[in-house]
Amino acid sequence: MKKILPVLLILFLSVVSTASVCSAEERDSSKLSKDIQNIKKEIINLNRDLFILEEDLLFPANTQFSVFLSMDIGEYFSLDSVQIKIDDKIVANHLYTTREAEALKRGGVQRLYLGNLASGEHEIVAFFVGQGPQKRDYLCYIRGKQCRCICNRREKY
Amino acid sequence: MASSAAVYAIEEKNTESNIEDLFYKNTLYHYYSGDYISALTRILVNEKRSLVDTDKDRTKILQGGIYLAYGLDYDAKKIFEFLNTESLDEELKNVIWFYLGRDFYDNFDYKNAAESLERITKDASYSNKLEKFNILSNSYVYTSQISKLENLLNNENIDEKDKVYIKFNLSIAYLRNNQPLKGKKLLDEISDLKVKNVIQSTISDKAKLHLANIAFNNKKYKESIDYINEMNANGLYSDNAIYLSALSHSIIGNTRKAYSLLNTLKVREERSIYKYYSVLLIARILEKNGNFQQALNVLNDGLRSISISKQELHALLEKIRKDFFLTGLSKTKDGDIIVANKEYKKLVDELIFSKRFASHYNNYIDLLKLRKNINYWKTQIPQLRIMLGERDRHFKEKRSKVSTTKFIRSKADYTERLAHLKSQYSLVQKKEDAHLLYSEQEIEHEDDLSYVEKKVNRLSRQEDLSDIEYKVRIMKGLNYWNAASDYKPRIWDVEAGIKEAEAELDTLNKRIVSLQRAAGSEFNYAKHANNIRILKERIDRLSLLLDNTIVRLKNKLILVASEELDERFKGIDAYYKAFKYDIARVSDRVFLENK
Repeated sequence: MKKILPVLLILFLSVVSTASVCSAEERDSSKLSKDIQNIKKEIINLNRDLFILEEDLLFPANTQFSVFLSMDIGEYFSLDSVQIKIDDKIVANHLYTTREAEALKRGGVQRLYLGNLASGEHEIVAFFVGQGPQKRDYLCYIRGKQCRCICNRREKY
Repeated sequence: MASSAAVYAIEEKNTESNIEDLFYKNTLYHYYSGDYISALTRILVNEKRSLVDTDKDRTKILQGGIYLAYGLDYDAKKIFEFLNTESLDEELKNVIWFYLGRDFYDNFDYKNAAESLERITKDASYSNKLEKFNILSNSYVYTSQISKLENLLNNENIDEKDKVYIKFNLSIAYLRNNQPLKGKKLLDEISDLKVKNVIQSTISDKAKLHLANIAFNNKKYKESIDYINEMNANGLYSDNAIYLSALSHSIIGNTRKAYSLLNTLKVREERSIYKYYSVLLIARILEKNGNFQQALNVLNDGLRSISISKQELHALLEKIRKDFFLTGLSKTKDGDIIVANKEYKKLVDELIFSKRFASHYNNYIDLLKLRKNINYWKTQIPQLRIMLGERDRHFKEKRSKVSTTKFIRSKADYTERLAHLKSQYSLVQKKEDAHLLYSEQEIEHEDDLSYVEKKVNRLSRQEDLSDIEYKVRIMKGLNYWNAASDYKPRIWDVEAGIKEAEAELDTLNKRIVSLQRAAGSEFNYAKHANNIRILKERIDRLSLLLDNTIVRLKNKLILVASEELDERFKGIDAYYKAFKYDIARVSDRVFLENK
């Protein structure tokens, strides 16, 4: 009996210490996970405030000009890249990844360009490069002078 | 784990673009592209600017979904709980239940996952329905709900070809719940399927391997070999299948076949457990056939190879404990971050199967992206300050040039013109006299004729002037007839003139008011400057906090990776001991044989 007791005691202590180590590790993990969630949230809120400030300073509402792109004819045309020209000056170029092209096909709308334009008449031209049926290369373009120009034309170059 | 959640939202139909949904669809674009930071930022910017689309609830649900995908579970659930009321549209409620179900599933809460998904009354699309049914069937297997699995299999809303996975899950549930006959029957049905794609082929292989295992456990070795022979020789489960086949062959005495199968396995994947299994088994077959020296050679080769693996793993462990193994991450074309170092890439590719490692790793990648984001804003702050100064200067310059004089003069002209036209119109309405609609030329002509008439009247009546008087009257009559024949179009012209003058006056009034406002207003430089200062402080504070969190996460990743490798080291060590034991035994046999 004398020999058994210390052995049991050591076993008991080791079980207790293991348990406390486990819970400390779990606590640590859970705290880290919470801290990560908090910092993600805080940085996204910071991002929001900085975006608003940037837009207010760089692109005031009275001169702000945006170009949005959406696709309603994605079935036979796979988009590779887009170039935007305003008054014959290239202002935006975008090369699409597979995911981005897929996002457009699924109904997403991309803000392709954000800038400033003085009031008056301007010309905007958009060039679309991609692949059509049988993987043939296509170059399509639209040209317009209206503000709300929604593309639904496809022309073979 | 949460970051790897698949993308889900109410499927947008690719109909003509609707300008009203611009903000929602712009967020969708970022979400579908996997750029959760931009998607969330866009939603929050739109919310703060009150640029919310027609359907507020739909935007909120999307926000919840992005929070979930980005690992912000708490915020997501807060949104869903708030929205999930009786008044919410049924379709949107279904989306919430889907998001919640998948989140519970990702967090291994299979009971709640199943309960959430069961609440969906209508699926957004067939692909969503299929995903829901697959998650449900997995959850039912984990919670042993056989009857619900049977109901899923009998569901008429899914195509028969898409039921293979559910069928497989049901067979596993039967086998786990002591219903081997039912389980085997379903596995046989799956293995008899004519496979049409990679997924079906993999499930069919998995079913055949299960059937082979059942046959092996029932000592039906030939049947087990037959099932394996039907499997894809290079499929996902081929290592396991070849080993099982070699075992069956060695038991039934077909040692040559077993030997050749094990040799194919020996040269396979470096860290595959079957590599060591197969070497041990080859040596035991040789030993069983009395080729002791050959068996000893095989075992010694194996021991050398395992010692090298042990040393390599040990070195890797030491390296990971000293050094951080995720440095030098690079970006793929799709924006994903991958490990650039080849040695570590292989390790991460293996470790990513551990859910514990994957969860920390995904968070680490997210934090690195946030680090990049913060660094961008750090460089932008000086630019914003310059821009603020420029705008203030420009505003002051412009204000000094503001003058309303020109517009006020123009306004007076138009007011006068309008008054004239209105009075002309009112007179015409009262008298219906074509005189009132004379053009400037006609008025001039009339005046000339009247002048001639007066002159004639003043002249001596001795002369005969009746001819001239007659001509003047005729010409006056013609002038009047000209105006009268054009009566209606001339009235319309007056009406159009009134409208035009009114519109012009309206524009001028607005312009004057806006200029007066501009002249009297101030560009709020101080407010913006203060805002920039506060934001700079926030950037600095969060930058420090982020660095600190990244260091903590790095340490955690090192710990998790070394623990995973430790486990592997223990596994290899067990093989090492098994090899040592076999070498000792076979050496004795060789010694006795030589003696």
